Amino acid sequence: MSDTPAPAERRPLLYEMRTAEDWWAIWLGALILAVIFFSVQITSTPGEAGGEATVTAASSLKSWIVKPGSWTNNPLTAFRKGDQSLLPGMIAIGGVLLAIFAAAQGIMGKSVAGFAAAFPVIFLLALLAYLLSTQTVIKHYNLEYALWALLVGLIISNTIGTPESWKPAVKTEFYIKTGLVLLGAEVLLAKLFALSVPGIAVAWIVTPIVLITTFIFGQKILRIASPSLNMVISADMSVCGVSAAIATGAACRAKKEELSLAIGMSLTFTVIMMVVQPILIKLFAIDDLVGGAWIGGTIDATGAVVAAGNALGERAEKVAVTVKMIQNVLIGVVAFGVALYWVAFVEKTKDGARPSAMEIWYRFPKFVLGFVLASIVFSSIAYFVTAGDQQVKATTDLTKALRGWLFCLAFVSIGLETNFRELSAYLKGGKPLILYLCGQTLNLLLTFIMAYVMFGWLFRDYIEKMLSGPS
Amino acid sequence: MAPANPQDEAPGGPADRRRRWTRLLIAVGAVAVIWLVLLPQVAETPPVKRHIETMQAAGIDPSAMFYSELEPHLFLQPQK
Repeated sequence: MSDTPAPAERRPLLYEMRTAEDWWAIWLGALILAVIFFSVQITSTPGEAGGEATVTAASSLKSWIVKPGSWTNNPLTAFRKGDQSLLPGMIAIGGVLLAIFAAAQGIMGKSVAGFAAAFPVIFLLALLAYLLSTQTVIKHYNLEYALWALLVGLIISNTIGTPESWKPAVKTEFYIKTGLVLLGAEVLLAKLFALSVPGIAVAWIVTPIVLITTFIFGQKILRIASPSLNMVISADMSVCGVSAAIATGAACRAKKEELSLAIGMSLTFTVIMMVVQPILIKLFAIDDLVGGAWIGGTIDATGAVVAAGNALGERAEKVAVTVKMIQNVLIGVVAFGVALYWVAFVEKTKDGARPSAMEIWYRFPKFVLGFVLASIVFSSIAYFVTAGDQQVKATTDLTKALRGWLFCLAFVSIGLETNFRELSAYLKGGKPLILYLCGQTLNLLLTFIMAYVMFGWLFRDYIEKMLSGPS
Repeated sequence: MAPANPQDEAPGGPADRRRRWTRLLIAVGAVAVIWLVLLPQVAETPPVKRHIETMQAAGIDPSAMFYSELEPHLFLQPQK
């Protein structure tokens, strides 16, 4: 995350494409997606003519793209999956990321040697953060790796201080933007129609209303000084937690401390809501389908939605998870909309004038184009190509692990760049907390009404029929 | 008692470095105790154990950040 909005310097497009991190995030993301999709193509087994169900899609890279497994008492068990050691795969991932990011650094005209010397340390810290997050209790209460990556970085930066020699590999924005381009391939637009009208109503009507209302509330009523902090909190609370915070934070160039704060609040309230919301639904004897849709539309984190839905039973779980999936797809539209709004309306106040279309293009965070394009390309493959959905799934099964490593590296980097004193300045007056609480209350209320109308009344029979059909 | 050397106490001086490294060791020790001693014990308490077993039996990954990290059987399939 940048501390100040990037100035709209007018340099030739080709020069920008060769030297700007935004463009390099697109090139690296595209390279990773292309290589993995190609590996799926050459190892997939085609089925009989017209028999798409018999096509199996897999990749020879599968055993190499790994992350630490779950552990309870002994962290060393996280490095094994059955008889297989995960360590060679992790070393390979570290090596590949080092190679491609170092090459990008070199072409951008930055120090390759400094990056290459520092990257292994940052990667080891990311590995440590992953290990902290896969401890069974932590994992099952949805305390995601982002939090522990921040903690690892914060401990170092606030005790001995981040050594100068590590700083060439502390590339928060670069890792986040590349990870977001990979995430784009997972945003499959056809998923939007998984529940037809009721799903869209809960996830795509209520969510933008809450997002926009809380942003306006934060700016006009609470008068939060930083619009980007306001937007990141609004997005993570209304859309889908950490992933939405990362995407909107990058789109509106939020400061690293703002992203840390938003994610910390979101994960804290997610744990509470994951436990309390199913209890309340049972206590007030709320219908399971309405309860499921309510959970899916309001709990920030995707994993926590499954856990909370499961507490209400299988029907509620399926509705909750599917509503959340539809809401997840919104992330692409939100990131694009926020990026456009920011360059056109928020940053213009610094100059005092509304920017022209060309100025908007210069300022627009280009990696968002890669994110949206990856979504469109992989959505098209999944929808239009025979067995494309299986090929896309086989591809994203691998890219999501790499995306996880990139986000983990980014959050370690944020921690290494953050001072506790800078972070505490944002908590003064408790405005971010008030914003989150008010916004989440509105979210709970509106989503409940929409869930009741759609899942409990208008489309009740339709959903019942889906649940009773083959799944 | 001899007065402390001002250079030792200055930022970056030996005393300051010692203080910083001590803080790091304390923080690392706290993390180690929580993750290697406390959390394994918490995992054995009946409500937490029940929660973990339920999640594992249902094939749920509660730490998923995005829907693509979840198993397909958890979703409601659209009607053909």
